[in-house]
Amino acid sequence: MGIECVDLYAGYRRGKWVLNGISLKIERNTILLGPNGSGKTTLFRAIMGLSVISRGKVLIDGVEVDKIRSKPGLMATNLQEIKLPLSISVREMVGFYLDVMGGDYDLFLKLIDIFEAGDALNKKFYELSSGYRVLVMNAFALASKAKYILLDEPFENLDPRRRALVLKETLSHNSIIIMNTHMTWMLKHLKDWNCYLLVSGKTYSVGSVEDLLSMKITSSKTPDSVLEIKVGDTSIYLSKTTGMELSSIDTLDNLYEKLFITTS
Amino acid sequence: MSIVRIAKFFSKTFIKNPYLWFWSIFFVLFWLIMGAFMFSRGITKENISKQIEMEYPEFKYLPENERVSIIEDVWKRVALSYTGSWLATCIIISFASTVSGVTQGIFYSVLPLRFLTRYSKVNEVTVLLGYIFGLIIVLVFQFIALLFATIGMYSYRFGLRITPENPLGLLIVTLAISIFKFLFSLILGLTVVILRKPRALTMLSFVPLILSYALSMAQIYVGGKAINLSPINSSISLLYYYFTNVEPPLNEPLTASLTNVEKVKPIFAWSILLSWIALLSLISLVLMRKQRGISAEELSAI
Repeated sequence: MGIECVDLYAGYRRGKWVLNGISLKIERNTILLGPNGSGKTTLFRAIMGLSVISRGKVLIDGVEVDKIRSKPGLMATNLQEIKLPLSISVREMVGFYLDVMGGDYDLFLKLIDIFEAGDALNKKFYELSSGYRVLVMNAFALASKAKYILLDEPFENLDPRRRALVLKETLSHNSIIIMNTHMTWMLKHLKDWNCYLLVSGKTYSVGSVEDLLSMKITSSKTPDSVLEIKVGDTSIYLSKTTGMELSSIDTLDNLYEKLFITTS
Repeated sequence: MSIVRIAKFFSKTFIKNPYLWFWSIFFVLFWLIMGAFMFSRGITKENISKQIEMEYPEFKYLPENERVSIIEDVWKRVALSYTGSWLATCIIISFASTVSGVTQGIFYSVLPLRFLTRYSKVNEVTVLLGYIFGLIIVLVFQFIALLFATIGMYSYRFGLRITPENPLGLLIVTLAISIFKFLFSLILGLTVVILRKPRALTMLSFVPLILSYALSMAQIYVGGKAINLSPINSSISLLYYYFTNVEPPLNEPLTASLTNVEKVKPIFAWSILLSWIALLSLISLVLMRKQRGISAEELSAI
């Protein structure tokens, strides 16, 4: 049945909503693309029931997220705030979590080995570098074997080699993966994934990643524009033939530079 | 998911916390040493003899061996009473230190617990009970460490073998105090969440510690009827009673002479403590149902 957000408002801050009336439905592997500060992590928190939803609702397989209780194997995530604030080793923490979530601890160890992060196991979480924290939480999420796995910026702070390793393991996983990121380098490997753009707290459906890769981005409206994305006071347009290819940038953060600053 | 499994997990993590060792045990041991060797300097057999002579002038006319016997008897009772009052106070302060950390831990656990109770085998009840039992294991461990340290130090100081009159009673009171302290810290942590004032956390988490210091020192050196309505002071009275088998004074400082004063009945102290536990349990349940959690953005703003 999938994950459904219906007219979702959440994360009210400084007089503005972080999520502005988001509606989407996720039934298969999906990527949420958006620049930093667009509300991607807030959306994940709202989907998991970790953030207070002010308006609208989130349904997980038809059940409102606030009503979900004791459902191991339903959802997992790599968000760091889900770990208990205890001064214990990564090994003990993850061991406990996977035990109560019905996950696979041996798979976790295998993934840690693949990600070349074995040094992390006997350290406490706060002793890890930011990259190691991401690797540990990615391995934990994948080892949970949950039906839906939400990966929040799974490549952040990782070197290119480890990014590739994480991507490889993610692609071969059986769960329904929902990934959010501002990076675009991996899109060519996710062509059959569903794709949403998330900008300034609003989502824009673009079909599949392959559909997105076939489009071009411009800062001005053209006759073949198919989608307008509001970014503050300006707009970005997706069109069929005119503009810059998404593959020419590695991350959406460079998009603004390319569109508004770089002269051709 | 068994409560025992969760209790074992939490107790192991609490015991491995170095802050617990320092603030709840070593720092309190410092106070025990102060109590044994600094603050007790005025307690000598000579001073006791003078005190007895002042209250009972006929004492100086008694035969030598009778005077010595009386002084020894009073010395034993004074030693037991003094040791009992210090042990009781230090246990309360030690537990308060642990609980300050627990208050902060509960606040920062709101999100992880929300995650775990939705997407794992555990539910709110098993987590709460596991947490309580894990904490009780640690607090009992602290109690045993402090009890043995006190017996050793104060026996040496007073030249006697000082042992608690009712160790089982002491243990039962310790368990009751553990539950009271946990509920108190839970309410403080949840209050911060409900008020959505995460910056108040540090201040609120020190409330159990400040109250414990203030009320326990007040009971030892000041006394007064009103403070016996406090669960902290009822706990001290019960610890004192089970250590010494003597009812503590109701309106006098614990360190005062115990002759001809109104006493705190154990049943009264138990009813105060248990009433507070019942009240705090009710408040905790209400707050847990009311709290809608604190967002991760607010947590990271601390």
